[in-house]
Amino acid sequence: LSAARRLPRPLLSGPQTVQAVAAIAGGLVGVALGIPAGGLVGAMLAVALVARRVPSTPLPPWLRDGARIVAGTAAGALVSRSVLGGLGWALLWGALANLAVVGAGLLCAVLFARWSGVDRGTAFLSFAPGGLVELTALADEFDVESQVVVSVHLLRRAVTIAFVVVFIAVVAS
Amino acid sequence: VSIDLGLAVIGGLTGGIVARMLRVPGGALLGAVLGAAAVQLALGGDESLPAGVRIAVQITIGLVVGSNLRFEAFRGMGRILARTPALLALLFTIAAAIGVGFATLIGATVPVGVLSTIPGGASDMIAIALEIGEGAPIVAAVHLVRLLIIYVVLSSLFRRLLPPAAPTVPPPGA
Repeated sequence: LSAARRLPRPLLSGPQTVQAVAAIAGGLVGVALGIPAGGLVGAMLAVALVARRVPSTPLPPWLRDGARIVAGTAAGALVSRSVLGGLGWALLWGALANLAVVGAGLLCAVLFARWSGVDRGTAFLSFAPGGLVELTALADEFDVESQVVVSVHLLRRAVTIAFVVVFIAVVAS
Repeated sequence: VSIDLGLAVIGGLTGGIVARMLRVPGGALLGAVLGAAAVQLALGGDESLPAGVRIAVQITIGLVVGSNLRFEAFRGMGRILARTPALLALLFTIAAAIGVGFATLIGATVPVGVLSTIPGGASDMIAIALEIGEGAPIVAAVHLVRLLIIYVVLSSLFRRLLPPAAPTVPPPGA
């Protein structure tokens, strides 16, 4: 028994390993089929489908943060001096553009509150264009319907990917 | 994979882990971008990512997004969420229009502009920008600015305006 206690815990549980294998297989199929952003779309769909069959277990924090670190590292590795030189104005305009997008999100929140009957706090947190994890954590601080906030953000994240993939396919064609 | 790229990866991992440990909002992504960029700028490199790396990034992000899509989360929310797709379509259309304007202003392509302003997951949009092979640093930088606006400006506004959650009452005898 003491020897068993000394065994290192696996990094992923059984269902999490199934999800990871499904992501790799789905991603490779998506790439092979030539779907725009096929690795992302294929992995996402495969994991969502597998989650209907295996017990649903959230991924460990190290993997969630690891995914962000991998994406951030890949983007940062492409920053050269010429890219940095052109980034100044882009950042200024980007900040203004994003303020406009945040404003559009708040407008949608007002409409959401009116149409769905949720309170304005829930609606604002549901349509604030931030990260799912961070806004869910923020929702827990306030007297709002956290479940609604989570659901809207899940929907937004998935629909965004679909929207962008279709948009890029249309622009590319 | 070149030595420069390997060092940039080490810089990104270090930056991401340190920012995460310091509990910086959005720190894993922010720290990784800054860490990898700092190393890359110090080395004066001008890298492009191998196709395998881009696919690995996409699959990792796809795994995280897919694992979030638990269908039971939407159960019983039909009435509340009924009009959400229409509102999301409105939000995306406005954001895409702003993205086209942004692309025109900075002289980037339309996909780069739209990826920069569409309010999706920052890491998801970066992964797609890596796929189309252009503008990933711009997309990353603009999304990081958006996250700063949300976490610094909006969250402090929410803290002023929204009622705090009721304190949890311990069960009797606890």
